[in-house]
Amino acid sequence: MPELGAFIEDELIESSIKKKGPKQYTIWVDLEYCVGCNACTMACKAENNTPVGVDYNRVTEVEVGEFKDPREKPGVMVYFVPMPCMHCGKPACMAACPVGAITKRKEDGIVLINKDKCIGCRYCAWACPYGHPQFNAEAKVMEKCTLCVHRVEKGLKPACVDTCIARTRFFGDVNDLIKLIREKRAERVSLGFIGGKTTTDPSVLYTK
Amino acid sequence: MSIAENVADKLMKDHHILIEASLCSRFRTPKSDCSLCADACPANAISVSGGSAEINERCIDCGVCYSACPNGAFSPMERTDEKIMKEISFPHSSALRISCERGDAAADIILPCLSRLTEALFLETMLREAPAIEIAKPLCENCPLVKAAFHLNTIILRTQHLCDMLGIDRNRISIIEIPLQSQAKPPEKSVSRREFFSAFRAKATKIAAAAVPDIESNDDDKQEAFRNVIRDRRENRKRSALIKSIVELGAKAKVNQTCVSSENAMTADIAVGTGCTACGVCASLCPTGAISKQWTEQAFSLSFSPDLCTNCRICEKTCMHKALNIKETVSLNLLLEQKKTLLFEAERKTCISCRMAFIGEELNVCPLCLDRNKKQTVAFQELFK
Repeated sequence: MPELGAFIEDELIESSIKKKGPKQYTIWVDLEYCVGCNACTMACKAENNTPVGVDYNRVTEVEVGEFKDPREKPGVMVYFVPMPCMHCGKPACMAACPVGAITKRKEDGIVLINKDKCIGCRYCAWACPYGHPQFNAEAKVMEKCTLCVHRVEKGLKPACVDTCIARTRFFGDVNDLIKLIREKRAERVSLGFIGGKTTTDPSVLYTK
Repeated sequence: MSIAENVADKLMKDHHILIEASLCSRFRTPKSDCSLCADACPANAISVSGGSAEINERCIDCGVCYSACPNGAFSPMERTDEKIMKEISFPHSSALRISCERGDAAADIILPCLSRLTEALFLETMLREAPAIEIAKPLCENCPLVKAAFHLNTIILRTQHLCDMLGIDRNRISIIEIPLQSQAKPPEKSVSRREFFSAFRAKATKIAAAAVPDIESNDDDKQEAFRNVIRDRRENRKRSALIKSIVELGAKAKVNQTCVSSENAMTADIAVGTGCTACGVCASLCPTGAISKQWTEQAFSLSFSPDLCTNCRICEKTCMHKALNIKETVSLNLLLEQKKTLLFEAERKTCISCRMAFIGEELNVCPLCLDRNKKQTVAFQELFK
């Protein structure tokens, strides 16, 4: 019987959050344990008070494999893939913004939209390889996942991570998380980045 | 910042040349690489790296930046074009002589630097029927303000183009080379007014602070959002003055069709192709409001006023879909006509996915939603490969 890998001691990650100096905060989603309950989507909506149609975190169902011979073991699987902002190393949205409203914070690598500057042109949504930024029609500005920067600054974890019922999301510095994954899951999981790690250097980690 | 410091800053900074940041291309978009003011500034007093043009204490109040900026972001407080015109008495029987502080001391107009001249100044003198204009130009190569010298040629060239269009003999402007005179006080050695005040600033601030109760100003909190600043368009006064002169001169004479290369032109001719997605960035970021967008119940449209366009090319640089292009040649007659032309029009549709208005060939889903789906499919394939 495989160990219940989703239970990783909080202390292991806490240390990476408290670490001083420049880092890249990110989220690690263990797709093996995600049940697609959308609790993260709702927690995010409540925390960030987003209007209808704007979700900083969406869970997408992805069908993998092919149904072949009915007498054999079915090779089809459904994964639930929660997609927050990838807080890329080289954000395509930042490069595309015509007014320089998008910045990547040096101290923690969080990519933020300055709503005072944003003119709502949607260039970031065009440029983002994940189509993440969304238009808030009420405020006429673009919005995106902030990695709950208001909580992170207080030493808390993002709302989606805190709320995850399957404890399948983890928050911390990207290098510490990778180290943790290698230690705890190396034999069973493969580490991936949505869309590969080539174009914009996304930071959100997925294991399956 | 205390009130006293604010007052001291205002006294020093606002005196000579004002910058209206919302007209500066650099302020409107970091994609702009405009450095016309900094390139022409003979005292190296302007920096454009900080998101908008800024004048530092090296400024010698020559006003070349006013002449260099097509958007009229700079405005001289003391010697405006109007005041310079008032220095001459019209009608002027002989040729009008213009020179600089290191040139002909007996000239009708003496400017700190000849690059301070503007197209509007030339046209204004022609409007008042000055028989000829002589520019008494000393040898700029030996002048400490040599950096601004190239700009005079640009101004003269543009004025000549305008003369061609307005049916004025372009030889009415002539350049006479004269020897460079030494100035009693070379500009770079003199103590500028700015420096003079700077020296007193610290002490004055202290005294003022003692006199005025120290109320912390809340300017930072109330600072207007960038979005609102760029929406409230300021008038490009420099252009308004020029257009006024052009129209008056155009009414007097027979106008010729004049086409010039758009590289150094004062205006541009724009074409919008089918790649347009109605994002409205060109209209939002245009410093002078030459491009305007309109959503009606049925359609989206972009219109263009060539008389306001200063050929700053922000629209072309920021258009993500490369739908907007500046034509290679431009007819200067567009300046005179002052017609608002329709650049682009498309039927308005509503996306069933995001409920936003959009334009395009698709029936009911906007291209952005389609694009997102396509991108996410590719991304997942990559993850589960």
